[in-house]
Amino acid sequence: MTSTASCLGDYYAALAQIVDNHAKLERLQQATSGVPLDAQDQAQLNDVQADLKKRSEMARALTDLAKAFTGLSGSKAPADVETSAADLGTALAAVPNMPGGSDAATVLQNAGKILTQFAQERDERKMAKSIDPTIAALSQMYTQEKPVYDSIDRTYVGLAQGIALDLVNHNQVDPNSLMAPALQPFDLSSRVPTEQLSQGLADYAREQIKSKAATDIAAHAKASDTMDGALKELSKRTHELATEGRMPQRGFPSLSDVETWIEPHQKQHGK
Amino acid sequence: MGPSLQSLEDQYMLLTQQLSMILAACPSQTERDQVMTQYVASRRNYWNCVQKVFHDDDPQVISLVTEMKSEQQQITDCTKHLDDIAKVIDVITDAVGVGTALAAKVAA
Repeated sequence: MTSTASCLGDYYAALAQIVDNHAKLERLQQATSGVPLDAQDQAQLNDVQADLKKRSEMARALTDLAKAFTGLSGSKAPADVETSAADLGTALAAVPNMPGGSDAATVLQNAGKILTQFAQERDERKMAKSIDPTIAALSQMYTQEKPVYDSIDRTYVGLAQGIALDLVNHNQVDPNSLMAPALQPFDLSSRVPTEQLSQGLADYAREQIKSKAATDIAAHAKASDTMDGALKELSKRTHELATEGRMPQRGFPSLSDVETWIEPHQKQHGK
Repeated sequence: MGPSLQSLEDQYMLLTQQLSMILAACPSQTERDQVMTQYVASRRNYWNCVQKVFHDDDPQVISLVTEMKSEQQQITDCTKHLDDIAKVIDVITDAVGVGTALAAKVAA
């Protein structure tokens, strides 16, 4: 639960970063093409970004609770469980789309003591029962909202592609990186002899932009599919533990597709 | 949230891809301003919808989604005839108008 919740928190933070990047692209589009941009447009993007950050905070609160559950041997553990449960309740209350979110929030905000007791008694089944509805709601919300996450990524890449192609068409792109594979082994860098890019180089740049855009969109689609599958599996496992008292033996799906997609956005965010 | 958001995304992205070409075909700043206004409206419709709870089962929304698809095709077709820029602007204005109606319906 800890690694899935942690990955989900990073995923939402990366998606919030995408919206921030989209805002920068709209500003660039205003500068290069004169497309109007005012406070209303910025506010729209700020609101979407804030919603994604709330989801990220909610996933991080779930990570903290999962860590507190597993770190019970420490002397501070009971207090950690109580605090983490209350924090998760607060974070859930901030996400209006969470199915049954307000109920789960109220329960968790007041469930700290009872969860601590279950944890101290090492009663995993009761702990799973207490968290089962929250995990199920989290998984359901992700599945419902997944088309929006995919769309946010596609429009960001689509807008970047549109601006990049315009810049190529207006001869505002340095083709140095295209020539690098041939020149780097000899410590040489390129020099474009004329002001205008040759037709061949301009076509190559366009081809690279379109190809990278398609690859980026496919990478996010794969990551969001994997995240969706992992949350469904986590929900199933928690439910099975809650109802049958045992955790299934099957392996947990790898989150590497999600981590690979998140990585460059974390770097950009300075994490 | 499926078809409604998808239709608005398709319109926003189609206009993003064609924007430079359409602006270049405008004979004066007046036409360019008209195109820009419709482009910004399309972008706002899209972002408005991202945050809303969608009601795809609403028959009016389904009808608007169908209309949007037809309007998208008209935009694609008319950009092949940029010599008649007034007609192109009319088609874009109609299409974005349907998008605005869809966004309002979804947001209701």
